Amino acid sequence: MAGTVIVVAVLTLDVYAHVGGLDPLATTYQYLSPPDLAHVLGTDQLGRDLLARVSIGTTFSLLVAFISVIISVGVGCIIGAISGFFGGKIDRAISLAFDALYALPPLIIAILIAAMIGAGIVNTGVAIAVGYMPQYFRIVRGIIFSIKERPFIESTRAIGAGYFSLIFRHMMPYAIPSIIALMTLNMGSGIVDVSGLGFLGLGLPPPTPEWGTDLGRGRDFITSGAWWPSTFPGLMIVISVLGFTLVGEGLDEVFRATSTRQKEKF
Amino acid sequence: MRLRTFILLRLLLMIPMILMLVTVVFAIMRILPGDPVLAVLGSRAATEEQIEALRHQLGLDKPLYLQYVDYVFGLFRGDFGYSMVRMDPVTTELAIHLPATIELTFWSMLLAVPLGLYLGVFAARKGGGKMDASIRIGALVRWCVPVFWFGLVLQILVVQFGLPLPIAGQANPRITTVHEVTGLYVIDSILAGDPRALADAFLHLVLPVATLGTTMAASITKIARTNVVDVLGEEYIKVASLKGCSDDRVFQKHALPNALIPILTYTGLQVAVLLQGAILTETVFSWPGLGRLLVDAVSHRDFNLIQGCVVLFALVVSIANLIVDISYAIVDPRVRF
Amino acid sequence: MVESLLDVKDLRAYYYVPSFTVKAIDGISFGISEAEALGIIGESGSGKSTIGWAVLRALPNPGKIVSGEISFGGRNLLELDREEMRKIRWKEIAMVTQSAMSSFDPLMRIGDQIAEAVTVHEDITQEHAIERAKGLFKEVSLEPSRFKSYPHELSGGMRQRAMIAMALACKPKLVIADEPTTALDVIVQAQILRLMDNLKSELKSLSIMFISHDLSVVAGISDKILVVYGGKMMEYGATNEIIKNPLHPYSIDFVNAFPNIEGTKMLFESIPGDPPDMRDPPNGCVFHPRCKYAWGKCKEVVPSWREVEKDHFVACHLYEVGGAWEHGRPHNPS
Repeated sequence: MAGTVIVVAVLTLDVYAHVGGLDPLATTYQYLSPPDLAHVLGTDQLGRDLLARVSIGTTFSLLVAFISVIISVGVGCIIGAISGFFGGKIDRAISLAFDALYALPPLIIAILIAAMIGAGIVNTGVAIAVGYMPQYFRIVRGIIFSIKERPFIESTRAIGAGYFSLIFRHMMPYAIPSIIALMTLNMGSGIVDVSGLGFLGLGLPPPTPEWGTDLGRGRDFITSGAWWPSTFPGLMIVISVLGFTLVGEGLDEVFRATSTRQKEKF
Repeated sequence: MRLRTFILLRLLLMIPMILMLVTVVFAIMRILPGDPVLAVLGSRAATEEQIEALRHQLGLDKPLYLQYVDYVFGLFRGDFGYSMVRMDPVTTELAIHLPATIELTFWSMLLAVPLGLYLGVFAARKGGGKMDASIRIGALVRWCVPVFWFGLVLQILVVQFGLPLPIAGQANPRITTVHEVTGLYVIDSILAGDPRALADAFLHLVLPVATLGTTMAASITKIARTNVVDVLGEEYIKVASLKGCSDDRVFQKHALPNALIPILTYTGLQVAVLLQGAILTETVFSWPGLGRLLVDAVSHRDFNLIQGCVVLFALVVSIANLIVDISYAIVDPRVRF
Repeated sequence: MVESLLDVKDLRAYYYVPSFTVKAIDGISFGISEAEALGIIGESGSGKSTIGWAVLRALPNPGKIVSGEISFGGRNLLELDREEMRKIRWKEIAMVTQSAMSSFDPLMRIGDQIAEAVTVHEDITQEHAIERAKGLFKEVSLEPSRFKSYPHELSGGMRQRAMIAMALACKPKLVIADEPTTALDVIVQAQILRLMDNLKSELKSLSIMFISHDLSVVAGISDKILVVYGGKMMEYGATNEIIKNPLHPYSIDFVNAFPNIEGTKMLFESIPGDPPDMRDPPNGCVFHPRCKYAWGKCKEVVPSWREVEKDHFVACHLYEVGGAWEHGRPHNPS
């Protein structure tokens, strides 16, 4: 699908930038020069080449988003599985906590956590992850609930399977289709959140090239007519988010089509 | 179950929910690393005694559960704590900045809901054609554009093309010397009978509302379209058409009302996204609302203020969810258990 | 011959899906006279429901009527434009569908939906339409207190009655009932059938097309029966004839598959094999892969439709010249 093309293109640009030796940290004396032949996208306030910053920045945005997705999926799924499997009071308490978490907008939670634990790649990843955990928690818990009572689980139990293998090897796989599409979509949301935090000054520490941070810094120069420091990083955000969203929606359609087969009587 | 009972029960259910929310926020604030006292004192070289004194004053030397109890009871009394940075009760700061956010979000939703609904329904009606495809693609791309970047681009465009639109602030202090009654500048200027102030207020609203409003409209368009398309596939729509109803009648009397319920429910649940967007929009346009207050508090390590803002946001989202649940029960005859 | 109300000639309707074409009905012809009830029976996938939808020109999207003629009251329905067809729908030909559950708008009261059926066709006031709807309520033995109920507040049986009431709202000449009792339990099923039987006697000029896979249900109501399989006609005749004296091997198996409480006790026989894949139907006689009596000719040549006994038609090589049963079907063939 179109999305995959975009994602691949973005990743290629990133790899190329690394390999091609583009240096996002090299300062020059050409502060804030508009796009020209030497610097295709212009330079920022410290004379750094924007093309370099924008393309190397891909690594960071995608990396942090990826980390956040992994963490939220991991924690959300595991707790969801455990909660769903054991049920009872524990389940109700945990569900209530996650419902509360679900009520808060992910960015606000991220701001809160980022404010507390400070900057850094992993830190930012964790901050963003927390807001998305409830989604996975709900999905996995729901699926575990629905297959908990099925006969094949009972028989696996009877054979003597321990809780661990029962939950993770036999029940979790059913959740995979629902999760994969969501993960991809959340990559897109993750990228937006990383740049959002960066924009607010809460993301990765300078001089790390990050789209949000860069375009946030560029704000100060808009009134003087320098439009490029804020424009191009943002463009990259849109393109990469679009890519992941398209892939995610495509996956969603594929999985929905296979799970709900409509019987048409002719 | 009678409707009254349902509402009462739902209201009662809100209490443990809000308690949980407050607990979660409290937990995040207290449990994560980061010492509020050191943050407040900042780089000011402080003696051990001063640090201890401040810690005692803030109540941070008490055991955690006591701090928690204090805080919760404080909330019930309307006491959100004290902002060390601004030297003001948190409640005051919240009250000062609330109206600006209300004004921004109100007008944004006023733009977003009709726009999103119209485009979404229109696209569904035209199902499969070029108009449908272009609306879908447009909404999707707009959804992928971060709200803050959109605002920045608008600002850039205004500057580059020299348009006479203000790019920051809620009002121009040289024009607007209106006495603040509500804090909602549009209303205040009407109350004061000052047309120039009114025009000024509106002009200042243009860019921020365009930013936040279109962001919300994008997701509303998508959800409206999906729901209408889903409803159109239902059996009773086929039967209505079979019964002899004209296409228009089927769409207006049967499809739309059924689709509107889930759409409005979803829109109500977008309050969380709306607040998130408001935070970023206010930052871009230097709009003096709660969002900017939060960001400011964060940069100054004003812990009580941060906590207060987040709790307020959480409360607003909870109330919005409550309203959605209740309206759903009123509108949909199937929900009465 | 009684003047036919509905006359279907060589109707073909296919469903066009990106990778293949399903020939749902492929050459169906029959007629229904005034005040006659025709039962169309067949397995799932035989195309019987498609016939009903085709008559109303309401095939679900990938379906198209490919060729044929549907004469109703002298007009060819396939030649009418949208607006003319809309006027015919419900006013002349109405439908009772299988899923009464999902056939009603969940947001509208039942009474209003029945009244709507009237107001879209006739120029009468809302009050009169409500009056008419209330009358219909009584006719289908629904309590008047239920008039203002919402669909989800009624039981399955009640909803089915409401659907029947709605179908009769404009006093149509023909009602197509597509598996109207399949989703109901047996007791309710009996009630609905009794209701339909009563209505048939009361409304002297009402014709019914009763589509089902359940022979016992069809037999009670229909005057004539048409057996379909794989989109084609197998047999047609008076109900009693078909049941006492089924001619086509498929009909024989079909009749035998429904146990007879009164008759001699015999083993419950089902028809071996699977329904044909309608994307690629068998050559020759569409039933030949599952037919006990099939021989070479059956695999290649499509049997012709012929009147084997008076007003009793079959499409089977057994009855053609050279066929094993050319001179009559042996009693109790094994």
